Amino acid sequence: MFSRFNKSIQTLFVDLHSESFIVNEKVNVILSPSLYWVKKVSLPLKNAREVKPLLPSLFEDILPEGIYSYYVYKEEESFFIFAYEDKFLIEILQKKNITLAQVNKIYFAQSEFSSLKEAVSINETQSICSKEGMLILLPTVWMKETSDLNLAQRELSKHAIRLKQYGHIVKDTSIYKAIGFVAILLLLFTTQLFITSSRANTLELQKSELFSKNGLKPTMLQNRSLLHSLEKTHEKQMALREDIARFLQVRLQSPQELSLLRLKRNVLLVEFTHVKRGTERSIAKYLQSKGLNFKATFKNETLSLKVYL
Amino acid sequence: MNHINPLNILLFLLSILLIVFVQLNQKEQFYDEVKQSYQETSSLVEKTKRLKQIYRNKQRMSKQFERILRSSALRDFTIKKTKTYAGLKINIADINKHALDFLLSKVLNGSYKVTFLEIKKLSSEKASLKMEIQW
Repeated sequence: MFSRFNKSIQTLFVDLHSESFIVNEKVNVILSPSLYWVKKVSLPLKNAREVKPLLPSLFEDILPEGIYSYYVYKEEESFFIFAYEDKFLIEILQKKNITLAQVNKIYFAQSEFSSLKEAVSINETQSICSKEGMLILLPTVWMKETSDLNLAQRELSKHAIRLKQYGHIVKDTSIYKAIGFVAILLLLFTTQLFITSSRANTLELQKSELFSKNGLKPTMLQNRSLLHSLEKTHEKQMALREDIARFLQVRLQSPQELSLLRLKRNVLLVEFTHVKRGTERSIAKYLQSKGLNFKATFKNETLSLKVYL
Repeated sequence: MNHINPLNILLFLLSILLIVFVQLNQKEQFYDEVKQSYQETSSLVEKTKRLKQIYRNKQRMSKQFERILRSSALRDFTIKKTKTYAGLKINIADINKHALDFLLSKVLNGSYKVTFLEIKKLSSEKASLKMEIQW
């Protein structure tokens, strides 16, 4: 039933009535005419590609309910058009102990045996023979003479098909649409990835330029410390100005006077002289009401107030 | 089968899409961090620059202070002035009330880092002043 086709790949003829094969390596498969539908048509079209979209309608009348794949090739002026069920063929192959992974290429018997000169028996009861270019399957008993199937000397054509494992679930067009959609998404994401990456790099560069352009220290730590020190200075200077303003706003009673104002090591010392005992409280109260925190001492009619900045 | 199954192509593209998606997420996260860091740095630089301009600009401070000291209100007083690398010291042994008001308002309303200040009342009209400004 099977013979070696070339040096490395065996060719098997698979029919509904074939026995199970023992397959250890990749094989080519030739499908018996009982496993597909074929038509020979003449159409006013130039090539097979133009015929492809018309295939489902060309088989519309004869095919039973099912999900079919189609194939077409041109021979002389006619087109040979095929219809087959992927799921059915996969099941048949599995029944014959051939998995899809073991299949190298699948051919139609029509394309491989179209020029048969005599009938060839493919099993105990059936034979194939060619009539006006069409391969037909007939009972062997009808034949006067048949020869055995010899695949060893046969060169296979270019008309190979591939079976779609999930063809009955998802249509090829849907898969191609999904591929297109995913490819567009991929393109968008990749573009976005490059843009984001480029923007991040530019920002990092601009960040390092910020230091050098503004004459700052090279690290964030140093700059944070510098800013902290400057902010502290600013706070103290603002506090000094506010505190001096508060002291100058004190309304003194005669003969009270502000005799000393000294800032040294962040301590502001203010002295009011000629302050009678008891009146120093009104000065202190006024300053407290203005939110000033100070340390007060009163000695020899002199009120000394210390403010820590 | 020599032909590539379109389902395999789809799965392959989906795997790449997943990888790119994860990388994109990571990159966008990284970009957000860099952006945040840049904004923080930019704000820090702006603040530092502004404060440095106020408290560390020796040239500006020196120029402005010289202009104050040369003003007509202070022309009649003896002003001892010592300029160092770190700042400026002023000593006026005798200054009247109006001139003192003028000088203090200029210094305290201006952007100077006053590190030492001593005003002693000498009489109802006179006072002495010592001041140190740092840059």
